[in-house]
Amino acid sequence: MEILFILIPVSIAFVALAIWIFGWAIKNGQYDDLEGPAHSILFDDDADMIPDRNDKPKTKPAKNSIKP
Amino acid sequence: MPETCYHCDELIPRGFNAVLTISGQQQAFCCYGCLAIAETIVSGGLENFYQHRTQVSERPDPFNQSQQDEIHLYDDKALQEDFVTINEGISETHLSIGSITCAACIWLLEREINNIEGIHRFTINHTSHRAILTWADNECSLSTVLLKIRKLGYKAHPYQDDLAKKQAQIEKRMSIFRIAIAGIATMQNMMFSLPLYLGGASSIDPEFIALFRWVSLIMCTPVVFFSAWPFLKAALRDVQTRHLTMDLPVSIAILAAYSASSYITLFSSINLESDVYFDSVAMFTFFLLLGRFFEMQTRHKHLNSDVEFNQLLPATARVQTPDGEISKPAHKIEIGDVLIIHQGQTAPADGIVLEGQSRFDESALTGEFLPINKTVGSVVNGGTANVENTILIATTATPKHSRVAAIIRMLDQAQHEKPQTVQLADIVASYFVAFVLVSASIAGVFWYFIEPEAVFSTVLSILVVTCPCALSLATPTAMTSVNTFLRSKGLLMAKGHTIEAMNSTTDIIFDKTGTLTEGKLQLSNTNTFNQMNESNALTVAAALESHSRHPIANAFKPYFKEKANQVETTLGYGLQGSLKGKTYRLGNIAFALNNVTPRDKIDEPLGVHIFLSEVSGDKQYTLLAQFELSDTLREESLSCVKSFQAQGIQVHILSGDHLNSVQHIAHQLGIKHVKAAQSPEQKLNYVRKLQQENKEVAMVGDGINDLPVLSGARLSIAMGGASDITKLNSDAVLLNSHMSVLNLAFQSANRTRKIIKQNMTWAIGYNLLMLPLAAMGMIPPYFAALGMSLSSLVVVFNSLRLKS
Repeated sequence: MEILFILIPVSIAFVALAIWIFGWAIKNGQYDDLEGPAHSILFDDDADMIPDRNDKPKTKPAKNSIKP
Repeated sequence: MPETCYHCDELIPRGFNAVLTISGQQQAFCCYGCLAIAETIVSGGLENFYQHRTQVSERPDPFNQSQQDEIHLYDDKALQEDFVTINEGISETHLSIGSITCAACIWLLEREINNIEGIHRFTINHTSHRAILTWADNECSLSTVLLKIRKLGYKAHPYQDDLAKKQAQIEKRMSIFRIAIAGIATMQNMMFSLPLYLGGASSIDPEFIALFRWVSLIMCTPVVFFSAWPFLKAALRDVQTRHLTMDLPVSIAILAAYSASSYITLFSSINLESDVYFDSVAMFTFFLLLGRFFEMQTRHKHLNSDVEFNQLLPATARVQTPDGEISKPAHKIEIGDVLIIHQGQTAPADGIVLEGQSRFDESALTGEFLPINKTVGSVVNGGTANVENTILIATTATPKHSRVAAIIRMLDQAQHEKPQTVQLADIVASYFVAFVLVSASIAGVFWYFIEPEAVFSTVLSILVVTCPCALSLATPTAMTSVNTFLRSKGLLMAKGHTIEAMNSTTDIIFDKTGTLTEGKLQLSNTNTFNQMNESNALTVAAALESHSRHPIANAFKPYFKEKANQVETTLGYGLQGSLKGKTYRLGNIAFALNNVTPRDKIDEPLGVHIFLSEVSGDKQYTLLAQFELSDTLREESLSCVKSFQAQGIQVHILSGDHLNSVQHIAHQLGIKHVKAAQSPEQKLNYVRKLQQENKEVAMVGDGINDLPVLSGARLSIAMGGASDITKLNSDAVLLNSHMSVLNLAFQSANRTRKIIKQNMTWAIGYNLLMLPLAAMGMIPPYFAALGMSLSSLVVVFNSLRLKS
């Protein structure tokens, strides 16, 4: 169990490193927009890759589900 | 079922036909503006926008040539100096973008703009709606980008970073960092304290206990002195102002638990009888910070904080010099400069008309939607728009000292004097805090006589057990849920006290223009004389009005069949023209009958009246028709007003419009308290007078002229059509124009109050139950921590009920 006397300080060093990296990311502006990435991943232009609605009516994408 | 616009979801006017095929289906539009935007979107291959979006788009403002010219002025290098930085041929600027309703708008804009040749990077922040744009100046110009944004139906203004904005950004980044530190430390501390809780003395060697405690101490120190710093600072302020808030017990608990644990770690012999609370300190701080951060996020959402009064005034001016017409940045205008204001342009500064005759739309300032005549010698206010002819004005006040700027200054003052709302949570908390502090002291004194060594640990356990975690969550969680709920309905709560204020409102004041009415004239009644039939009269009137740009002309548009010829305009009076060989006059009664008293009986005019007469060859004027025009009521206005009255809330109208039209509306709605032709100062005084009678006033408005009064009222609600600066300074913003949402909000406010009370009863009840047990030293720390979390969960779930 004596190994803990080495491992725990090492883990503290890792935590310190993680905090430093996090601080750098914040300073770099990576956390300024907390919503954008969540949305932008959904807006892929994959319309061409989605199977035609006539092919498989059951699995067709809900194309007109969001009615304006 | 009336058809609505595919783009903006507004009703399509009868007879209007504009369609476009989108994704294989034919869609109809309400105006050419919407159609043009849809065409731009489709031609860019981005019709998926209509599937992606979750909110309907805003209806675009008309976009005319002079506005286009104004955008081109932004290419002026002298003007760009203020907001563009150039680095190795790459220009960079920040833009503030308006009319963004959902994430799909941002997707659309980013796609379209990044497709333009010469653009390096264009990204929009989803929260602040600010964009960073970098481009190569020799390949494309700033105006190209601004025009493209405008063509997609959005508005963009360059904006400058100032000190306050930088400060706000640093503050936000700091709070994320604080949460991160507290979160990481919580996880680490849990790892080291769990063996101590579970293992007990038998299974762990004393040197490991010492090691775990030392590590926890190291992990916890930055949490107390960095993450919890806002609480400590606020507590210090509370002590100085002798006002008890949640921050005080929170700080005492954090500091006491931390220092006691540190003391044990540093000095006491290693035994498991004395506990350390580093994990509780870190976890507690983490949850509190998280709660406050979410609260802050909700508050800032949708509200663009970089709206300045500059946006009310154009950034550039056309100045008459001996060498001809030149353009000049607005802030360089000096008193005495002769400004040229073309049709459709907004006056950049206050001035006196030197040459020309025109009409100005002063609705932004006064709420009056009919243009005002301006002739030589009249005063033109900055921020008002020229409707008709080009005129020259001599500047009497620079943009900084214009009337608009004066109103903004009045706003600051009104905000300063706004009655402060003491929140229910604060009142309860301050009593509770006092109670906890007193009982902890009593318990301490008691234990001092029984068993002096146990004093510290008992007092500490009281403070930890009564940790007002659930109590401090009681209000924010309920507020967050009701905010989310109302936002989905279209009402945005901008300030914390909005819900509280709604509950105590006794008087609600509407500004007539744009709140209760549509803000545009419509034909409400037609009387005909001398064997004229109604449809003929309307055809003639529409033929004449088709030559006019006056808002009255819009009311006749639906009846337009053919154009009249030889139309002459007598400014401020009316129109004369001929149709099918007959000459007609259309205008006020004096003009139509050439100052002859009419033989026919004419009713007392209420609203705006227009008369049509025929002019015969021998200058005889025969009255043919009388048109009554009035501003149309919004659909839900009546039910909204009735519902408020049923709740016992007095409804007032306070308007800048003329008495006639205001009374007409008030009469239709059954509102008794009416004041018309009010200046911003008078409106503010009216609200102050009500407040002196101990009334709680809520104000609903939209104009710049409403700004001071909105700020003076305890609760202010801005309409979605309001200018950005009005929205920013209001407590709540109604994003759509459905007045029924206001009723819903007031009902939700009532429910929220109930839920908050339930939450507080639970939180305080739980704490009171635990307090005597803790005072008797019967609660082990892990049980206290578990109970605290469960108690908080109950509160959170109770609050979530508000979402439905």
